[in-house]
Amino acid sequence: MAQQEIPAQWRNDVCAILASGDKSLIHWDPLGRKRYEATPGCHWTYEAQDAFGYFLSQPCPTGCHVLTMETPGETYDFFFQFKGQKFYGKILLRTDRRRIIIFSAHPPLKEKLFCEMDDEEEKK
Amino acid sequence: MNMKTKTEEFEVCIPDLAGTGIAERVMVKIPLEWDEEVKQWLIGAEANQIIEDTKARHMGLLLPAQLKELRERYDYTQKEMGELFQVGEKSWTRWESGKHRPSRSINLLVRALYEGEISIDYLLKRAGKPQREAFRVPGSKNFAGWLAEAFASSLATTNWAESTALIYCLSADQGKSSLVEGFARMAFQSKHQGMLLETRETTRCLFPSKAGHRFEHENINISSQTIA
Repeated sequence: MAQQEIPAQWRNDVCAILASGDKSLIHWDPLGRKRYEATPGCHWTYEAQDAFGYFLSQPCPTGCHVLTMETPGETYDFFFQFKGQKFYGKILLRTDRRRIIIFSAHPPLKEKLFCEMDDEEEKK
Repeated sequence: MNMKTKTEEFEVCIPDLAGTGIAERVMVKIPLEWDEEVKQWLIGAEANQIIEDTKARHMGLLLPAQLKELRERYDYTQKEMGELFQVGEKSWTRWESGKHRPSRSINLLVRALYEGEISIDYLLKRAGKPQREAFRVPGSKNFAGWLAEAFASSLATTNWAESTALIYCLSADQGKSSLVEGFARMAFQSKHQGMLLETRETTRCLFPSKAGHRFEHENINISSQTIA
């Protein structure tokens, strides 16, 4: 399946959280945070969060609805630009729609997003 | 509600000067928060602050609390600090709140002021603003006498931050003997000997410049005995 436009409601909620400046609303997955930290040029978390906000506020950004995650909430993954580089991002909007968990913000480890992968093996 | 937490080691990557590579890796302990809804450990605001403050320190960047301290030293607003460094109020506010960090290049300038390597008058001049006349010794007066008068009057209003700034600004250009004499006269003129002694104890904080170095390393002792 191809990438689709990320729903406006999800984007609006995520952008509002990112723009709120309230750090207590944003959590990072430890592995995702370690990957971000280990990437040269990735100095501060707000830089990634600002880049997410910029990408998601563009008209019609595309990505994939990630359906395999067992965590409650709604997750999308997508490619976005970070300091002129292609980055992979994955964000969970929690069930209260007022908090997010950032799972990924790093250079892509795979060429395709979740929904573009053909078989189950590839999705793992 | 008690949040379940555990401590974990985290490798902080300190960027090189170009900002494109990693110069150093530093291990820190960070708290992870257990999230019952998603059933996993997460990194929250506190852990991110520890990671980023560690990085800032290793990069030589002033921390948000130090930026605030610098602003309060001069009794400036965030808007005035933004104008002083020509970065705008928003940037200064973001740095001071820790929402954003200053770049290494602007940090050089801010740190120079923080450490007393450049004067605020110089920056004011460059920003096209009037200099802080209140901190200038009138040409006709003896420095030690004027210092005693000004500092004692400042202490009388219990404006400790102003007094600190006053001494700090003045000491940069003055010899140690006149500074000591000024302190001694102050002790007689004011009722704040305790505060003066506190000044002696914290000279390293109060005088980050050469004057502080003199106090620390040249055995200038201002004790109750010598004052008396």
